Parts: sequence; structure tokens; C-alpha cells
Amino acid sequence: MVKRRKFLKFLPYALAGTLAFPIGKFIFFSENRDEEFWISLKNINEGITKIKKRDVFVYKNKNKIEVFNAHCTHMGCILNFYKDKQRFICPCHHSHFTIDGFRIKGPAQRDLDKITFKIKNKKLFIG
Amino acid sequence: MSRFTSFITLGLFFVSMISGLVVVFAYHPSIAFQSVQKINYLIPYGIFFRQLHYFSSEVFTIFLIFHIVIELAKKKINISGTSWNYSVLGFVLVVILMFSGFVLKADLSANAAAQVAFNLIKDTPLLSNFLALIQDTSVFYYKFFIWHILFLPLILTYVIYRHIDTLHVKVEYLSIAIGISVLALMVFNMPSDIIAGEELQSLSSPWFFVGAENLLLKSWSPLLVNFILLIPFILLVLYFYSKHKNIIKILLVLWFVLYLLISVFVK
Amino acid sequence: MKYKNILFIAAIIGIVISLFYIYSNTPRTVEKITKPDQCMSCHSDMSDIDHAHPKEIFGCASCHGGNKFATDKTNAHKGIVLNPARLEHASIFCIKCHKDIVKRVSKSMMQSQSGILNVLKYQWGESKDLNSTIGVDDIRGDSNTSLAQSHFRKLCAACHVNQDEKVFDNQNIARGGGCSDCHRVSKTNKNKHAVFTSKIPTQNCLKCHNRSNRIGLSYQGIFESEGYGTPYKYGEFSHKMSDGKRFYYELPDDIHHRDANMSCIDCHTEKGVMGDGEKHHHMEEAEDIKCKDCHQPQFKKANTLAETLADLNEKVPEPKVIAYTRKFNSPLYNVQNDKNKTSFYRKSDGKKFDLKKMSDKPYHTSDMHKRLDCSACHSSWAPSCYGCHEVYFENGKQFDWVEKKATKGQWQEFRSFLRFESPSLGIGYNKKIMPFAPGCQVIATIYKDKKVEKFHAMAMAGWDPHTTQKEVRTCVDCHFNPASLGLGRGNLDIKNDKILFSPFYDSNKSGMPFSYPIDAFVSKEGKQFQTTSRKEARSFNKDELTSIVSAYKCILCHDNYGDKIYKNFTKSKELFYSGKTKCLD
Repeated sequence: MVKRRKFLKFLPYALAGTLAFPIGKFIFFSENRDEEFWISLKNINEGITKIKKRDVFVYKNKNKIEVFNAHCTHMGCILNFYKDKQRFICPCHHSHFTIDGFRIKGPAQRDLDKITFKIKNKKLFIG
Repeated sequence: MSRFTSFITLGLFFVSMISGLVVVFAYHPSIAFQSVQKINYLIPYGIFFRQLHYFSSEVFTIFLIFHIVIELAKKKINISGTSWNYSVLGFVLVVILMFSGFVLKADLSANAAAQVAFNLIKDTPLLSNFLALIQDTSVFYYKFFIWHILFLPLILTYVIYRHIDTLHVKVEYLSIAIGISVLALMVFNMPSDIIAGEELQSLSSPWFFVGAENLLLKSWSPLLVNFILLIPFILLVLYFYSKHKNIIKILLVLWFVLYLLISVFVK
Repeated sequence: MKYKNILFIAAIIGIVISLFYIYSNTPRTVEKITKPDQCMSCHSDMSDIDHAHPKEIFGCASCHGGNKFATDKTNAHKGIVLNPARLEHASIFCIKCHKDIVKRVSKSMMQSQSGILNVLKYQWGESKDLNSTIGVDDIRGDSNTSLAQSHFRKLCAACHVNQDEKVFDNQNIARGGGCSDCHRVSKTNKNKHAVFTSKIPTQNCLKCHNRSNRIGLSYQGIFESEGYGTPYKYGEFSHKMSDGKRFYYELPDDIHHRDANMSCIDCHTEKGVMGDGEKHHHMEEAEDIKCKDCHQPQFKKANTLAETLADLNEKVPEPKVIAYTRKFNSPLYNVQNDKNKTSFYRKSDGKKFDLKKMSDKPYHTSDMHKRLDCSACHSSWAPSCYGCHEVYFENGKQFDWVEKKATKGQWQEFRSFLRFESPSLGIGYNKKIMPFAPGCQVIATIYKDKKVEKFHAMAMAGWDPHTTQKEVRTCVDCHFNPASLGLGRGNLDIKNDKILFSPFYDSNKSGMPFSYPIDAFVSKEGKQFQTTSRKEARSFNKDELTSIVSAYKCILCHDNYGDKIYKNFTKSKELFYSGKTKCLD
């Protein structure tokens, strides 16, 4: 009788121990398990560089570097960059954007989203 | 028997609270249905904790009803009038908690249930002024959410405290409560979420409101239906002060049987 | 105490099992979180529907519904929709982006068939209202069916855009499916998703537009023939149509088809086809394009819609200055003006053609012919199906295309004879002279219980048969051909300004319940024999007939539009009658 009682008294703590792991996994779950991403500045040329892994375009000219989200601001398709026309054109519904990310025409209404970045130790950190 | 049931009921309440505390971390009222589905499929052990919360709440309600029946079966009432009144209030709060929990699962039946609730309140003379307490203009489930996770549990905790003068649950009863919940989880299936587009003939409300739903289907006035739902609580309050306790017991049984019949046989 | 024992054991069992449950059965993290939805975890090899809806962005659930988070088949497929292009599903899924299109199509005549039902009821005396917009969706479930409605249900209603493709026994002639009825060019096959396009091929239109006035067939030079299946080839019938039941001849196809292989969409605009949001009564009200819109184009700067359509087409060059339709101001982005040179671009592949504008020669500008529609002269033939003999058996059963099941009442339909040459002319719905053909000449026998009822409703209808040629009908073909005048086939003469005509067809001898020849629209005295289905439409009247036929006297010698007598024909006639000309009498 006493043993049973003692066991039952001890049980919740045991359960807390067992359930601690699942509860922890539940609460700390995050969809974006991306690590910090960086690319060496050497690999970034003048003009547009496409970084497929993060779906971004890096625009570099003499004065500045900009990082654009490669998703079109209309429905989210990945943009193509046309060197001859010096503009981004979306293959889905043909929205056009300048090399600076400004919207020219098409169903998209917003300019390209800019992504924050840092330059540290000759590396470009994105995000 | 009486102590046993009441302690387990309290234990189940705690299990429900704790499992709810886990699940709330993943629930987003603005993308309610989406977050519920994420809990089901994407988050580790998500469905386990959701089912634990669901079954512990359902078993809590059932044990609560057992507890009430057992207490009413006694010849004498051992508690004070205040404690009794708080207990009835607690019962009301539990029903509202169960309903708001049903709504928060945000599938088609939950959405329909919320709409029915809005309309019932709109059609009730005094209550209609308080529609804004549950209806939100931008995020549909927001107010149900804050009632269910914050205000109602807090108030209920206080009410329970005033009912039993303590909040201390004996640990062994907590174990048994967890055990029963998990057993229920093993044996039974949680009703599946109804997604938009599924071909269904009808959407149903939570089991305790099926009788009321059937009456509404038969075009009974919403005011009357509201009153019918309130009858047991009114009777319970009166029970303490009444000199003819047997009559009230009979009325309660009658109400229960009638409600059961309406729930099962009226379609 | 005993309760406690049981519950204790229950608690132990429950908790022990739960440990196993947690660590083995609980669905853990899904193998990988696929984007954009979990459907991709099984269906990643599915091809794209088209370039405008890539699966990497749209996923599957945004169109097909279902539970996009579920990782198992049963739950994922709950609420899933097989063909979201069907209008009832499109109004939930497609409408998120294609806001007005779904509503427009749902109201259009391509779905309602209101013109057909409307005219049928009017012709059979069941309604006096030619302007009703009641259609397929309005009569569904209606148990009270009149003869006209019954006929419509059994013999006409198969063709509406939201028809259920599954109900066709012969899948070669299946139609319907909502948006996919027009836009789909190949069906889903395993991991190859159905392909949609905006460059709709003629064959898609032909699924339905191969009946009634046979426009789709005529455009391609196909004439539905008497049905012998000749010439026999290798001992078998030849020239069989895809339904396996009808046969055809090949006649000259429309010049737009022959010289430029244009498809229907090269002319017919999206507003004219998908509707403008209004419920129209008759086809011509919904139709947008006119010959003039391309051949006497009005050029303006290309608008946003033109640019979008051209972009989606990907073949037609970027439009700058384009033609617009006069009726709905729709952009004809494939009719472009560049430095005063008008070019037409074929939508299917972007091939460029020089567009010939309507000349301002006398035959187009002459006052005498100002009432002629383009089709009156330029149509080379029109399929004319004389005598539609209907038999109705009340106790028979036939497939009802609205209810999609066999219901009581059976119709059978046969014809008297077919012709194609020298279509009759008359005043059409646009108050201009255009070709007319039987539409429809119903001679019906109704078997109800043991009673037999008979009725007939003879009507002629005017339309552009889509058999356009550059070479037009000769003067004599209109001015002195009794068939073209609407008198029917027979011998025509004019003496002392009086028309003499003896028809070939004898209706009485042929057992018809009327005495005028079956191919006669009008009598030589100008009395209209058959009805039309438009208030404005009619045959030539007495004055018109006299004037047309007597003009032939002049045409015999003055057979050139440029002849000076035609510069002011009224004056020329005056001079002639007062003997002041050199003409013989």
C-alpha cells in the first residue's frame, strides 16, 4: 500500500523527466534552421551575381553593394537577369525590374525587396 | 468515492493546463488553422501534446459531471453556500472553456460553431451588447484565444480555490490523471480536422451542445435555446437553498434525460 | 479501495505504454519540410502546368485544395479537388488571382447557352420573350419540362463550358471541365500534369462549335455531308468525323485558315469569348470582333492588358501601337502598326503577315451596297440544313445533359436535305444584309401516351458562316439567283418589272405541312414565309426584291463597279426611264 503510494508520488517527476525531452523539442522547434550564410567578396563580380542557395541577387558597382531577394514581388517566382537588357524579368507573368531593383512594368506593384547584409573580413554575410 | 473523483478531477485540470501550456507555444491565432496543422504534422511530438490536451480536457469534463452527480447523491451538503456557488460558476466556466477550445482548432466545424455563437449572442437582448467580447474584426479567433488561454484559466483557478480552499493537488492523483488521459489517447481517436472542400453533409458542434444545435435546427427561438442551456445551472444554484431538494434532483434528471434524447434522436 | 487498485494499474499501464508511444509511434518531424507545401514530399516529380504557374512557387494545394501540411496520403487528400478548373472550384481557388474572369465566364453564354434555350422556346411558342437569359444552370433540377426544354436538355445542353467530362461515353468528343474546356491542351497523365495555354488551338473550340451552324467546321473547309461515308477507302467509309457517326466533304476553307492558318483566338478576343460580365441574350451581343476591327483598324497605344497578353503569349512581339475592337475596346495586340505598316502576328507562333486593309474601291464605298455586311459578298458557302424532322416519344428514355442522367422523353432528329451553295440572303440582326440558312426548320411529331400531336416552326437565321474568300460572289449570284434572294431553288425570270418564279421543291408533294417550298424564305411578292429569331431579322421585302432583280438588267452590260452609271445610280435610273440614255430596252 505504502509502496504504491510512494510510487505514484514519484511518478509525476519521472514523467516530467521523460516528457522534458519532447516538450523541449516542441517548444524550441523552428522551421528555419538556416545557418549563417556568407560568400567571399572575391566571388562577387561587377554587376549581378546570382546566389542560388539563398535565392538572392548581389548587385555590385563602383559605389555600392546591394542584395536583392530573387523572388518577384508579384507571386514569388524566381527572377531571371538579362545582361543584354540589364534588367530582371520574371518568367511567370513578365514583371520587369531595373538592375537597381526598381519596378518598371508588369503585374508586380512593389520594387524588389532588399536584404540586409554585412561585410566582415572580406566576406559578405547575408541575412 | 467522492474524494477520489474530486481529486482526480482536479488532477485532470492540471494535466489539461500543462499540456495546454505546451501547445500554446505553437499556436498562432492569426493563422489558426495553419498553426494547428503545423502542430499535427511538422512540430516534433506536436500531435501527441495536442491529443493529450484534448483528451485530458474531455476526461476532465466527464469526471466533473461524475463529481457533480456524486455530490448530489449525498444526503447532506458539506460545504458552505459560497463554495457551492463558486462550484456552479466553475461548471459554467468549464463549459465555456471547452467550447472556446473547440473553436480554437479553427477547422470548418470550429468556424461554424463560432458563427453560431455570434448569432446566438446577437439574438439575445442583453447579451448582444457584449458581442465584441468574443468577436474580433481583424483576427477571427483572437478573442476566443485570449479567453481560452488567459482569462478563463485564471478565473477558473481562483474559482476552484474558493471552492476547495486549496489548490494543492495530491501528486498521486496527478499521476492517475495523466495515466487516464494517456489511456484515452491510446484507445480513442481525436475527431479529425475538417478542411474546406471536404464533402460533408453536416458540421456538428461539440458533443455537449448537440442538443442545443438540434433545437436550433428545428427553428426554436435562440432565446429559448439559451434559456434551456442555462436551466441546469440555475437548478444547481437553487439546490443549495431549496427545501425541496428532491424535486430539484428530479428536475435535473429530467432535464438531463430530455437533453440526451434531443441530442441523440432529433435530427 | 478496489477502485484504487484498478486505477493504479491503469495508470501504470497507461504511463508505460505512453513511453513507448512517445518514442516510437508519434509522428516525428516530417522527413523534410518541403516548400511550398508538403504535397511536394510525394509529388515532387510532377511537371508544371505552364510557365505562369510554376510548382515551386504555387505548390499543389493553392489550386487543388486538400491539407497542405499533412504528411500522409489520407489526411493530405481530404478536401482535395481533382479538376480545380471547374467553375464551382475555380470560384474558390482561381479567383484568388483571376478575380473577374471566373465570374465573367460563369455568366457568359458559353456556360448558360441562354441564346439556344431562349430561341427554342420562342420558336416553339412556349415563350414570347426573346430576351430571356435563362440558361443551363437555371433549369437544373427543374422537374417541369416543356417540349422545348426537353429538346434542349437531350440534344443541345451537352455543350457548356462547365459540363462534366466524365459523362461522355465516347471520350473523343468529351467537353466541359470549366476553364480547362478551352485552355487545356493535354490531360494529366501520371506525373505529367495537364498543360494549359493561352494559345488555344482551334481543335479546342471545335469540341463544341462543330454543331448548330457548323462554324468551326466551315472555317476549316469541312462540310457535314449527307452521310454516305464516300468515297470508300479500302472497303471502309472515309471522311468520318471524330464522333464516329457523321461524315464530311472538303470544301474551300476560309481564307484566314488557308492563307494564314489562323486559329479562332487570332480574331476572337478574350472579352468576346469569356464574356464581359453581362448576361447576354444572343450570341452577337456577346461577340466583340468585327471584320473592320482588323481590316479598317483603329490604332492606339498598347494598354497594360495588351502588354500582359503579349508577354504571356511570348511569341508576338512587344506591342506598341495596336488595333482595338470598336465594340468593347479590347486590344488586338497581334495587329500592330509600325511606321504606317500594318502587320498581323499569328498568336500560335508569332509568324508575321502583312495585313491587307479594306480597299476603298467602289465596290466597298458604293452607296448602293452600303447595307451589305462583309459576309454577304465574301462568304462562299454556308451549310444549309433544310427540314429538321423531330420525333418525340414521351415514354422513351434519353440522356439529359443538364441532369447528367437518363430521364423520361426521347427525341430523334432527321433532316430533309443539305445544301451549301448560294446561301439565301436577308436582313440580319445588325440590320445589314447577310447570309441566311435554316435555323431551325422544325417539323415535329409528338407521341404522348396514345395521342399524337404535330407542330411545325419554320425559321431562318442569319450569321457569318466563316467561309470568307477574297473572291466574292458574282453579281448574278445575288441579283439573279432565286436561292440567294430567298425564293428557293427554281427558275427565275423578270418581265415588265415583274418577278416570275417557279420553284423546284414541292412541299405538298413532299408531305410537308405547309405549301411554300421548304427552301423559300420569302415569296416573289415579298411575303415572308418563315420566321426569324430576331426582331430586326427578316427576308427581303417586295420593293427590295424588285429592285435587286431589276438591277440585273443593268448589270448584264454594266458589269463593273467602276462603271460611271453606278456613281449615282438613282440618277442613272431616272435618265434610263426617261429615255435619255443609250441603253436598249
